[in-house]
Amino acid sequence: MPNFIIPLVAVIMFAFALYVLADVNPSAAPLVSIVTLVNTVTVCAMFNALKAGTALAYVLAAGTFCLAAFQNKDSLKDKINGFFAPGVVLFVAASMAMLVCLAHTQPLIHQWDEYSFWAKSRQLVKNHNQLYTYYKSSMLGQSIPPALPLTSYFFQRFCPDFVEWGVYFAYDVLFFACFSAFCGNFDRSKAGRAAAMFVSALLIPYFFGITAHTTSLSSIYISAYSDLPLAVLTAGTVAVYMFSGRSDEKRIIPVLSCLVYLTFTKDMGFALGCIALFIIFFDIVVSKKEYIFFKIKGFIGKIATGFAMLAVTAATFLGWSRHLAAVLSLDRTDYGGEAGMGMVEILLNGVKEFLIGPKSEKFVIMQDKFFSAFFNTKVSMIGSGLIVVAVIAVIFLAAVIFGDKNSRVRSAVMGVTSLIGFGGYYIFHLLLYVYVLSGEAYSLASYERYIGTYYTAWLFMALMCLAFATVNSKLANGVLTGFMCCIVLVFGYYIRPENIFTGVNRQSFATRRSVMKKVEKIAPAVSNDDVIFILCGGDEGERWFTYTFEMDKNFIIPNADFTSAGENDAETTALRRQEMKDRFEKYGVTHVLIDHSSLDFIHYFADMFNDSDVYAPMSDVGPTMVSYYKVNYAEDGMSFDFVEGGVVDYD
Amino acid sequence: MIKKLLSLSATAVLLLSLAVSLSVNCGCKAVDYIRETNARKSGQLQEITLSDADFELSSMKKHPSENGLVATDGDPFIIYSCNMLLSGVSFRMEYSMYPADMLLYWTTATQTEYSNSNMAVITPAKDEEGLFYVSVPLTEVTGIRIDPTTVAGNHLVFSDFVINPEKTLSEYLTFDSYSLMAVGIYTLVLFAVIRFVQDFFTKKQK
Repeated sequence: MPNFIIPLVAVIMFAFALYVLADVNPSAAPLVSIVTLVNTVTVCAMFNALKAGTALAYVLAAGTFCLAAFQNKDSLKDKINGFFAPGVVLFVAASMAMLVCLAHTQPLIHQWDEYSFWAKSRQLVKNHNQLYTYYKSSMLGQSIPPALPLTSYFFQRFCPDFVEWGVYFAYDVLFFACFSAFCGNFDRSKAGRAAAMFVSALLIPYFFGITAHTTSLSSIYISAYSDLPLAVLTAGTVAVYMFSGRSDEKRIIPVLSCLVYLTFTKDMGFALGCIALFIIFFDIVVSKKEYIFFKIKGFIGKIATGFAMLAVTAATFLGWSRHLAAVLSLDRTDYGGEAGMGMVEILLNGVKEFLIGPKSEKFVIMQDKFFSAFFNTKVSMIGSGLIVVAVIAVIFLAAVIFGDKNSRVRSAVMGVTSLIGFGGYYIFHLLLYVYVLSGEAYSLASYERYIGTYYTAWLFMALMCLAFATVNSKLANGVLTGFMCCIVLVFGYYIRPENIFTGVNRQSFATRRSVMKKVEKIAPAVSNDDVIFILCGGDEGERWFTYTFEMDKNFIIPNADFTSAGENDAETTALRRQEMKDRFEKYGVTHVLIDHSSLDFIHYFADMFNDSDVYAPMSDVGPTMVSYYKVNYAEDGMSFDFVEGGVVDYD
Repeated sequence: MIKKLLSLSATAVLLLSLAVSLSVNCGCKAVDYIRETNARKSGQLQEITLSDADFELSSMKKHPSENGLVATDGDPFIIYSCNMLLSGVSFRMEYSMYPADMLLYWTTATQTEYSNSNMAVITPAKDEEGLFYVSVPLTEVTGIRIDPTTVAGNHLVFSDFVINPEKTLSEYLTFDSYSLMAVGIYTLVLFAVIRFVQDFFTKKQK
């Protein structure tokens, strides 16, 4: 646990320095602090200097803090007092509480895509002290940008080994920093409003994450997926701008840092970054305050700001593409998928097909599905997208009605620009479903999760506008407090103690824990050089991915069935054995691990296995057993010698 | 009184909110405790120990060679028909595979089907491997059903199966991480609401 306090302190120190030296709003300072430190790490890591970059980030935090303290040594007490705005206090309290809770319950990595990328990448980066683009591994998604893995790395810098819940802790600190930024408009005298905002922000992820009564554990706050970080960061970026309190370039520079981070989060982060800067740009345009950008005054200054934001975002995106091209010889513009189109192609083709036609059959079907999903698919605790949009509209309306003259216009404009952003985001996802996803597209797989990202960000933005209105209006404060009460009530109605992260117990994560036990069983026989083929019969992939995560020191060859077929059974057997041999030789497989055999596998391959006498024959390998074999290559085929295995004791 | 409340400082309001949410949380637990002790004294609530033979099995059968039961598919459960007051269940269970979700359902005179509205999740004890328990608000039940695993082929051996096990006052009053979080959140909620009320009415006095 102390290993995690050091990075948290570093974040707070740098936040303090930002507040004192760069006049960043104290509530927004923790967020700007994290994103700036991690951006530093990211840029260094892209030049293969991850360790040095991390050291640099810590030095930067400590150095600027000392500078800030030294420059203000006479008024240090006042400065510290000013720094601990309600948002910052809540940020620190929530982070510490979360640290204690996670260290106590020790949740494990447990979701499918966490094994394949989202947690796997954190594990690899920690174990290699190098960005995952620089070495071969069993991980998928090597081209995904690295901001979140490196945030995790930054927070684990002082842990001797990779800590699974440390990934969650890094994410949660990032969330709380954003929630603090949402409270940017509230000083000490408005701590009540800050509490209302923070509690609402804390529960809103559940509002979109759990849509039915359920007994299972929700992964919110204990997940390495990027959907929620994207949502919260998009809103956080807007918050850093909104509550800055300055009207010159110092207002925009922290936003640039956020945009860089957002774009480094995921490819979709680039799209969301563009939406965020679009919203910010129009807010600058309609804002009445005199605005100066590096001495450029008036409207031209505003335009220059817009270009600066766009340039930084685009440069970040292109920078990562260049990195991929240089290190992996990978073309990131190719999105693959069904049509094998590049991103620009998808957009151009998609918009053309959408507006002018002619539309393909799939396009028409998906378009109808997306249209009706907006009205019918439950995306939140209270209902469909339509209802969510209605709630958001009511909050924007309250902000417009109760705000003062300037904030009225701004709230109205932000309502419109964020609506346009939603339209763009929604249509972009329609295009992704049409062109990139194949089979699962028709069932709208993960629709709630992807679209939920924007709803979440949008609701936060509406609340920020409301926060503006509360300054002069007690009624707006009433709306905010009332909203918090509603969220708490809905939460109380839907959530059972075992649904949320505090409910993690020794029964949670059964799949993961059973795989851990099996790996433990064969561990004495496994060396790091082993290249392994793993058979998980009857599994759709989850167990297999769990193994790739669990056996992180080994190379696990890609999973695929043997499908050759001949005229008769004997021929098929011969063909499949040849197919297996070819594939094993291609990857240099040294060992075979059997988690669960399948009837098919037994039929075609069983007599190649030399089982030990004491151990049950291969055909019995099932849920309670595991076995590990060495591969013997010979001229006329292969055979497998039993090395380790047996019945696993789960107690 | 109201005037005093309106003129409290932020810190005082925060402390007050914390005190209120803490005492409400403890109060609710104490009320549960008192209700249960009274029911026990009057003989309405009784501790019963059961064995495998007392249950009606579904998707489960006796293990052919060893002690205990085996799940024949992924949705096995055991039912105990009764007419009594229920406060909770505790039991020991050995398993051949991790059992995953474990649930307790109950039926009442009005609600005769086992459904999600009358359901509680069975959790493992923190300090003792293999011990499971679940508490429910005092209810008059006509049957209880336990779903001990969702894994087909799981070999389960129950022992010390107790309905309505007695609990000490300290067991009632312990704060798990959920109730600590709830206290934290309710403190902030109360704080925000009181500050809003203060804010709302001070203007009118001006």
